[in-house]
Amino acid sequence: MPNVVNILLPKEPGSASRRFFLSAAIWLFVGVFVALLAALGFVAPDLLPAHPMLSFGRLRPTHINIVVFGFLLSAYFGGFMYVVPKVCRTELFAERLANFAVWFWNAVVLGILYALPHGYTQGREYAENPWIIDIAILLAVLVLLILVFGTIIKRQEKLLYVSVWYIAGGLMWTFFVYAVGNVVWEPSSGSWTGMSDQILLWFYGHNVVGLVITPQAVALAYYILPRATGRPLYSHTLSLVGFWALIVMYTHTGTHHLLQAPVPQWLKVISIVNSIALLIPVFAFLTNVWMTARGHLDRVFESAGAKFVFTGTVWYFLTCLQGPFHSLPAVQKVTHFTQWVVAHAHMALLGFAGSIAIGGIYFILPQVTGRKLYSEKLADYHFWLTLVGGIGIFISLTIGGLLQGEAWANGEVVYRVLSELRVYFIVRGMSGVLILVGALLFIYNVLMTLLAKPSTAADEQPAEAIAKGVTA
Amino acid sequence: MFVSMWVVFLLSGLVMAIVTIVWAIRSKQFDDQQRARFLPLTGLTGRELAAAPKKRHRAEIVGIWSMLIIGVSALGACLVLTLVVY
Ligand code: HEM
Repeated sequence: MPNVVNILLPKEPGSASRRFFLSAAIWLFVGVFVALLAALGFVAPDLLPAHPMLSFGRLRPTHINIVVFGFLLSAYFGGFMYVVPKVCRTELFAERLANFAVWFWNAVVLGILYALPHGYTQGREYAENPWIIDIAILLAVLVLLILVFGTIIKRQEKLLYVSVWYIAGGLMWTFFVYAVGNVVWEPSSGSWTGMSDQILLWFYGHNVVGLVITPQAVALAYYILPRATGRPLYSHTLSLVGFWALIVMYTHTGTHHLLQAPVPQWLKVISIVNSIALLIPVFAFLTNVWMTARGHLDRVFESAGAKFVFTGTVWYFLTCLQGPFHSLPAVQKVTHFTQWVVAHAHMALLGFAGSIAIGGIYFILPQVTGRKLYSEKLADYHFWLTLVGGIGIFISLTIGGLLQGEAWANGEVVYRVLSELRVYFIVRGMSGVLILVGALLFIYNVLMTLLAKPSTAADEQPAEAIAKGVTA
Repeated sequence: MFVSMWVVFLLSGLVMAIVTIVWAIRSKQFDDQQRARFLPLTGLTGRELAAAPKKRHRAEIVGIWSMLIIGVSALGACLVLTLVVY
């Protein structure tokens, strides 16, 4: 019996990170596979059987929830379980509990994979999960909060590095934003009514990207880029300014998703002004990591993990130039309700958040296994497949979106425009295939690294003592 | 109900932020910012810190610049279209 407990919930440092990383790689594949089915429907609508589970209305939320909760968050959780103890100079608080979190989280994602395709949904964008899954997610986040704060409390390093601020803050926001955004005290509907509900929903929707995902991705980049370049962070003060600015600006932007809806004008104005003000935390972060890597890009590109992370920061730059731009009502007249927004969403969640998640796994996996990555070459192929696939999705959807915007502004009917979009949907589907192949390589590489024999002591991380000499 | 929920939510956020800042100031989190910059390097040897790159990585630079050019061109195209439509 104790053996089973030790296998399921080992105490060994790094075990929970490793399991979260493997889960993330598998969920990436599942999430992209579901997306490809949806993309196929745009190219050849009659190809898939007319089964409700294969309808776009079920495939889309399944895809989104699997990539967000299964892939991105699993990768970030595995990452923080390594980064927080490292920069706090201690061990993770309660590794067994962390392993419990791995199982529990995977059960939640399996629940999502069952519920949404079967039509059990609350029908609100990004908040589709049924109430019982909402509660399970909140419980899981509580466990993760215990792990992070438990580690912070027992730390040997007095100063909290900026990654810890983002990780701890991000998890707290996740808890509150998720509970409020999903209206968990209304189990039957998980919503308010009318316009009030939409305002609340988009407060939640935008915070999912800004306060749930972004802080975790930024935290990983703040750890990995200095480490990959061997340079100290450009400015820790600037990084903390960015952290506090993110809190102040992000929470008021949600209504920029509702500029075409009957929301009070003052709320729209606040959301637009804050969308532009978001450039402050965005550039605080980008200036900081880019100045850290400046002159050392060849070292960044030497490691597959750091390369993904750096590329993620460039996608972040583009995402956050585009964001304030299409928060302007004049621009949204052209872009809203078109594939342009879908292009932005992919640049953000696949390009920025996804690249950093994948890079984090490639970078940290050798540290938590004590082995080299099974194949840097495969990881390199994965990098190019994801980059080319990501650019393909972005270009095809952007052009498609602009065509839609222009046609609708000229009063063209939908069925005329749709036929013009076909070629772009084909390119989007083909780009998706590249990303899916990359995801397969990813699973194989992660799995083989986990199964490889441990390296000799000489390859392993050097002692803390040397570091003291460096940081003094 | 809707407004009171927001007010409670807003106030609790504000209180948590203030408590955190007060804690951070009292525990001198903002004092030694110079040393904080080095925390991610903990555990790296001098040799690892000074390691020279094995080769130049031109392909990656070209890939990332292409991505930047494509991204900025998309914004440019959209700006032109917006001005035309407006
Ligand atoms: C300065 C920062 C940003 C601003 C101002 C911004 C602004 C916007 C706006 C205005 C929309 C709605 C467009 C429309 O419906 O017409 C949108 C959509 C979206 N954004 Fe951003 N964005 C920013 C950064 C990000 C980041 C960092 C992420 C992800 C990590 C992200 C993910 C998304 C997603 C997924 C959507 C699609 C929502 C939907 O399904 O309708 N954005 N963004």
